[in-house]
Amino acid sequence: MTNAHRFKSTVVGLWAMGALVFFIVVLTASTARTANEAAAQSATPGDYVGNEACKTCHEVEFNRFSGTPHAHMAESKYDSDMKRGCENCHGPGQAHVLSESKRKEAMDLGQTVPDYDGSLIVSFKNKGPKTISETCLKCHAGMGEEHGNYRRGDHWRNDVGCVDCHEAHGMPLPKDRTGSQTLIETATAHKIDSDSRVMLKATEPILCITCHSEVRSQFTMPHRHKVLEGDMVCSDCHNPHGGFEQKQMRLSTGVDQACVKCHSDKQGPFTFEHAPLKLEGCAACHTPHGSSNPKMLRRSNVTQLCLECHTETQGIGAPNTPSFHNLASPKYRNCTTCHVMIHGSMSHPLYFR
Amino acid sequence: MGKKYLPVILVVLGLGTVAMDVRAQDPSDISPDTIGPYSVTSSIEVGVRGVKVEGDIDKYRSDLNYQPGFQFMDSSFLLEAGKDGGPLFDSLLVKVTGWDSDPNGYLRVSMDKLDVYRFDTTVRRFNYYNSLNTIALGQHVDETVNTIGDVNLVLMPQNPKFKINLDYAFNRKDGPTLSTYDFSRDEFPVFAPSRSRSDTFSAGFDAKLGWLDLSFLQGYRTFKDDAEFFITQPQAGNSGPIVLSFLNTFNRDAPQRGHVNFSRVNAHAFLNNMVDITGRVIYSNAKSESTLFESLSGGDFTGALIGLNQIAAFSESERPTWFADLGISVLATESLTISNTFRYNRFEINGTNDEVIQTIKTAPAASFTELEEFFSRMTRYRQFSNTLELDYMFHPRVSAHVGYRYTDRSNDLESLEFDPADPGEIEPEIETFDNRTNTFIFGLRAKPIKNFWTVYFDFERGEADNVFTRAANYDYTNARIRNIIYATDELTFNLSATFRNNDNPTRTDDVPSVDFGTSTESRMFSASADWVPNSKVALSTGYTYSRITSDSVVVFFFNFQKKQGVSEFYSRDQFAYINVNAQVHDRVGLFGSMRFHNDSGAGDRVPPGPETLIAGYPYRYVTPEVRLSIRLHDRIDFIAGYQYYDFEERFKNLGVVESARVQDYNAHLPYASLRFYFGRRE
Repeated sequence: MTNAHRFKSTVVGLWAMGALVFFIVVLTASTARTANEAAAQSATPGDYVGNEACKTCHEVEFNRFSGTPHAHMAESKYDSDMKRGCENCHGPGQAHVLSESKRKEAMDLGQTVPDYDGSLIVSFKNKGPKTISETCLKCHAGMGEEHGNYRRGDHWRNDVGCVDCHEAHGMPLPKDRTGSQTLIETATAHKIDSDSRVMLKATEPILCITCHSEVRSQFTMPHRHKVLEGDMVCSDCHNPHGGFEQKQMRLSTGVDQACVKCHSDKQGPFTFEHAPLKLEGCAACHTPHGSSNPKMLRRSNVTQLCLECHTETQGIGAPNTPSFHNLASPKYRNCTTCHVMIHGSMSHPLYFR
Repeated sequence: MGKKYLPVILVVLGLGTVAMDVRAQDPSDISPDTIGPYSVTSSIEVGVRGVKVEGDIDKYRSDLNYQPGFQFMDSSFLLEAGKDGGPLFDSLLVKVTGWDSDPNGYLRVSMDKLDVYRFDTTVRRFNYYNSLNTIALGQHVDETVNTIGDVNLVLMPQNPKFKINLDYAFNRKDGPTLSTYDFSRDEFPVFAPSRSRSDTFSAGFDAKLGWLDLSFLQGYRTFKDDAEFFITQPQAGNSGPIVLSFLNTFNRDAPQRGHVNFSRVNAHAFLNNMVDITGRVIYSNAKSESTLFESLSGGDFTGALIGLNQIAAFSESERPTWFADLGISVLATESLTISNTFRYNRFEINGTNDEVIQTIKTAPAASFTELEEFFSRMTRYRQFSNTLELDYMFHPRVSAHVGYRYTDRSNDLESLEFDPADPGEIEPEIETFDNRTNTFIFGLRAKPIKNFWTVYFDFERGEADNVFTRAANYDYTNARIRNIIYATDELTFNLSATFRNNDNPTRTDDVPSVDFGTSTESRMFSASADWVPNSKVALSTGYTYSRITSDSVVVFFFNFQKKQGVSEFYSRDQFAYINVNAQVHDRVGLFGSMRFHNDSGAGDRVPPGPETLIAGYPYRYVTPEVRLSIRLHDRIDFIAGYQYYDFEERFKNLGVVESARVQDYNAHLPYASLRFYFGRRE
């Protein structure tokens, strides 16, 4: 065995041992991630009081919650923690109800009112977004791919928690307002939509633009994807809950970029495929949100867009233009006039047909 | 009204009519907010629009394409059953916007029945028009209708152990387009009507097996494109008499067929509330094949007459792809999380093209030539990527993360050309590119003042993959800071800045070596404010400045002389908007908005010589809109509005020819509509 092999074997062995020790620790440890989980672990069935008891004091929240998919889970024939309603997230309420009843009684009788004991019910006040999100992930990180990478996503990393976008109690719909006919704008962000069904605080894309304000300008440029018009939403292309792709992009047909879901004629494979199509991605040449340049290209002048790759780089990479491509002539300044199948061609190595 | 979409529109109007009928039957017995077991919440707005365009109609249509006539404004219809549910569905939501005179159309139908199914379907239509003189000499015109649909059905959606997912998606693209045919040293505009279809079917399940969440998806997509290219009369090329070639007849059929099989397995576990593991494997195999037949007659650049030139080609291509991903997050303590994300990506593109070209020349001497060629292309790609990150919460209001990403990419491009007339030694050309990148990641999030000010900061410094454009990787630095200030419950500010530097350190082999790199700087500053002082007034305003400066050393030919020059691109876009909503009276609502873009592009910069290519797209785009809403009845609003679009290119020092190609326009779009409310108002 050579020294190199020995070194590799040692590294692999150490990794394997480390992983083994790590998993033994993990599997033997017992941790409650969230406060409600800790409360639930030590609770008995008698500690739960049911939603109606909560309604006595929290009627506004109860009424809003009643119309949500969360509340409907109580009617499901399948057994799940969500049947507990409020107490699924806030923990068993028996002690809280008793304590608050005594406080109210004392108040009514004019007696000294005991201090509020916040430890008797799980509250999310003063909790960090990640901690709050753990409560949601208890149910939502599970089946399906949508939320499975949330703990490694850009939003999680930046402390954008579930309740920054979703309202767990459901959103009341404000009064109707007139708004732009062709471009969604902030004042009309709350309306009946599929977004309200997933308890978003506002409809897409306004919800996203609230933080990502700079993309609004791109979506109002002359050439743009019709997002502010309401024909597309951010989550058509991005998975806000994270994922393995950079910029939280979605994939199409298993492994392709989200773009080809709609632009299926660019999917290929082509016999003569323009290499950046798959290797660099559509954004190598296009700005996907919007642009003042036609076809949402990165350059206003197609020649420059092409030349910046097709230039002589020590014989490496994209081929240079041939000598008869005289840039003094307009026809050679409009590359795609001849290279019409620029994304890829089945029958021509230079994308002429 | 487009007959294709009449059923869609009738469905929505029908639903509205049902609601109205229910009320009409016996108002004393039936609550106006219910139909059977369902509560109704709906507003449907239908109206007409007028359009008057002055200036470049092609540019207007390429940007906006609104036509006069009927359209839906943002409309929705929601039926919701109470606690006991409904017979066929518990809730039904229909959303519709656009269609007919609107270049965009959107329809969404969502239904669900507790424990049984959840159904969502979306259909979108885009009337796409593109005819711009800034691309392909203004000869590539598209006027297509693109229809895109998704249907998704989840069975047993509330089942915590097992659910089934069934999906169908389709794309349709039809319509006339113009293209160009490159023949014998000239270019000929040709008709190229577009007709492509794709259909994607997928089925899978999500299951919970003990501590393991398992998902599986199997999908299949078919694609077909019946592209056709032809001319209807003898055609001179772009060069006119300078080049002798011409076409008398031209016809090409190039149908393409393709399909993709893809399988995805996704597993997730959260072990002991401490370790989050997600693994995913995807395999996809995409295949395409095409048979091309082309025939033409005319004359070539030498002046020879061509009685018949025929090309027959058969091409096929295959692309198997593997993705394997593994993400592990260890929630070591309540404050500390350690994550590692690994990706393996491998694919090949293997394509061949076998073609025969027969040419019969009739003058100056009759001749027949036949040329057979075989081409093969192979691309092999493999990438590893690993990202290690630590996230620490110092305080519920302060947290930070650091990370490191490493990628290793290998790429082979192989090409082979075989000409039977010259069957000498055949050696494929192979190019291999390997590169590795290292990236450092840092982020901070803080709430310096509780419930008032939140700061997000992201920073990445490292290298980006760069196989083709330059010899070395790009060095990049990205930084972003975002402040959200909740000044009061009614007033919110957002202040953001984004910085991106992308530099390529390549230098030539000359002695002394000179810069052969490229550099792109992108800056974006954005500020916005939302003020909602009460339920009657809302104001939203903002400003964004985007600045892009790019320069690349390029090599090209100018008057057949090789030049090493510089390609520069400039964008200096200022965007401002203001939207005001005001309920000026119980029955009268007013909306006003203004959107403004002003990009000075390259400004006054003038190329010092032919070696310098300078580009930018200076323009001004102003879009005011006003909208008046009058409540005629508790359930009917009358709405009248007006939009104006003013687009102006602002190139300086244009010559006579360029001035004639300026694409300015202004468009007046008045409209009027009625909005019907059923159930409570939104």
